[in-house]
Amino acid sequence: MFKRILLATHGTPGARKAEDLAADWARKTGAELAVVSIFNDDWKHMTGDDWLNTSTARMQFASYVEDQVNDEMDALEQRLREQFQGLNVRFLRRSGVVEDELCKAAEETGADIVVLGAYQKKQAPGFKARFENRQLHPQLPCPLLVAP
Amino acid sequence: MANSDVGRPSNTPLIIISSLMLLFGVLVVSGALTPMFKSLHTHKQIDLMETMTFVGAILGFVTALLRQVRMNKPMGRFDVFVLETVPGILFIMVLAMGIRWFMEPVVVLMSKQLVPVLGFKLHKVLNLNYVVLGILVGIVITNSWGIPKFAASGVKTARFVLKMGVILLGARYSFAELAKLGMVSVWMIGFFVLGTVFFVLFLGNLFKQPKSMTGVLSAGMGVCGVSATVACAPVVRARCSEMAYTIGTILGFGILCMFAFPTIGKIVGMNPTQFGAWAGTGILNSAQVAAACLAFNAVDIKTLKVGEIFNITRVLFLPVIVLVLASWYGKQSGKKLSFKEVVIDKFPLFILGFLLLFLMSSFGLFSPSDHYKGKYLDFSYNQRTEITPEELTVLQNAETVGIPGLNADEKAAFEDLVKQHQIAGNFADRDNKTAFDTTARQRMAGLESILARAKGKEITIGAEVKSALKHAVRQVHKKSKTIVTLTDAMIWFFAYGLIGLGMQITRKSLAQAGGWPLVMGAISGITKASLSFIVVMYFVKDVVLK
Repeated sequence: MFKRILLATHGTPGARKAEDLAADWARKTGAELAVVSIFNDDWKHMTGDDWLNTSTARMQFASYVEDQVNDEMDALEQRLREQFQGLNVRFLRRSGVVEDELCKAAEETGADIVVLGAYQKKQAPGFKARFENRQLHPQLPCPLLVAP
Repeated sequence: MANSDVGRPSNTPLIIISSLMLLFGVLVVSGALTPMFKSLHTHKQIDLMETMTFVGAILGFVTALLRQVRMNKPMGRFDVFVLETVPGILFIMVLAMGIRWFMEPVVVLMSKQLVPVLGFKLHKVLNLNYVVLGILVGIVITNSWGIPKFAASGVKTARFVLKMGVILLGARYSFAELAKLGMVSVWMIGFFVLGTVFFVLFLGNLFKQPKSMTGVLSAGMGVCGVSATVACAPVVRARCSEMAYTIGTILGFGILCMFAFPTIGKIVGMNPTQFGAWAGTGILNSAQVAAACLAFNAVDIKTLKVGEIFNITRVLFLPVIVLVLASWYGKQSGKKLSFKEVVIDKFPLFILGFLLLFLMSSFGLFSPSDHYKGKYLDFSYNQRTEITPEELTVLQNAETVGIPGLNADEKAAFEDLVKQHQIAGNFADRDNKTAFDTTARQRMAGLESILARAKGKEITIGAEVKSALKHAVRQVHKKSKTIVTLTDAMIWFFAYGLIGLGMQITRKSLAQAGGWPLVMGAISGITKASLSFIVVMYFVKDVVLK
């Protein structure tokens, strides 16, 4: 049925449902599972109107955020490697506009389907800026599945 | 013109902006727009309009030419730091000019016309002056169309230009002011900064939140908003979500304060010192302090002067707080940070520029040396400080008829003004500067007392008499042309900087507000704003500036 499934996750509660669903389908169909985590481009807005700091302090902050995100992605990857044992899995990391990078990853991996989590009703932990459907849908090269 | 293959935005927007500036300059010079400027009450700035538009247009065309020559070539430092920033600089300049010369006067006119409908002046209530309008325009642009690609590099100069504004502000303080305000601000900021930091740490303990989160939030809520968060996050090893929530909370709370503070300040009748002290203490973000002070009073910079002293004092606390948090967090993590990492890297260098300008001004580089050491008045006999012959006639008539209700000092001051045509000491004392100045100050106090009592409706004087007295008092205030020029430049720098900084406030960053940082931030922010309000209202009554 599916040869390649692309799972987009940051490990948030909504994304964990997508992880379970994608793993389940990969096991059933024997599809290759690609997991993509995207360093959100919106982080560049997060120093806001900070104007007092020296460029050194700002650079330190940017570098620190990058390290932190990478650490979180490392932890996520480690957890998923254990969870997805027995599956043909590869991990991708991207940085940029979420919608654009997701579609690029889908094209590069030749994905038959993209799986991601639904918007959460309750305030979930983590960076809250998510993709926008209006930006994502027109670019998608394959069907999109939202895990309920 | 096509984009180059090295990532340079097209030259077309720059050429359009430069052409518009040139066209506008030509129209201003031709006088075609003068009637409109008169109706908008901006005609006094026609000279400045000509200068700024022609300089801007020439700069734009020269840059466009150089960029065109350098298209399809690798970018060097000159390209990155000069050629690629000029389009954005001109973009913000055009916005600033449009806001100061068109948008603000139109808003004021419309607001006045709406008085019969609304019953109040909308622009006064919402403080819709060029500063607030500039920030709003910046926020609207960045959250709707986004910052145009051609302007992206130039918009980043806003941070630098805002710092230049604060540096130039340094030339406006006297030793006396800086010493007096500095002492008040050290006490107030010391109490509220440290108080808020410890209050947030206490709340974090109470709500059982991680140390990394309470650490980064305490710095942001206590010291100077996003800047402190950026400086402290690596020190307390904050997690990404904690940083994002904290920054979102601080930005959102700061924007609310920026609009609420000036309105509240006016409602309760704060004077410039009180408002500057309150804004400088209660508002988290330093740029928003400047904006709130200019929103409270954009014409007279007294409020800004007080607010900035508090602001700078707070910024100076940043390395101290980083040090405190580093030792507090370091005990848990076992990681030691160097003095350079904690203090030197976090020290805001532009404050040295502020102090340099202050010292240069104090040593008389911009004006006579005794002029900015708390002596703001020139009582010497000279034609410049005289009232006009028409005003003299008005005052002589009033003296003949008599003004009922004047006390002895006021009457004497009034008679001396008529006799000397200006406020001055006794001619016989002219060689004894102390005695001469003391007498003149008493006379000025007498005249100011008449004006104050007339305003309070204790006595009644005619409008022409009031105008003449005000003119006489104003005439002894000495102004250095250099200082006036520096002040004008500073006001433009702030207008420019705040538009650019408005463009940094994005919906996406505000949307990050949430979680425990929002709860704890709201509690601590409201507590700080309320307590500092009470302290200012009860203890900062003295108007120390003249």
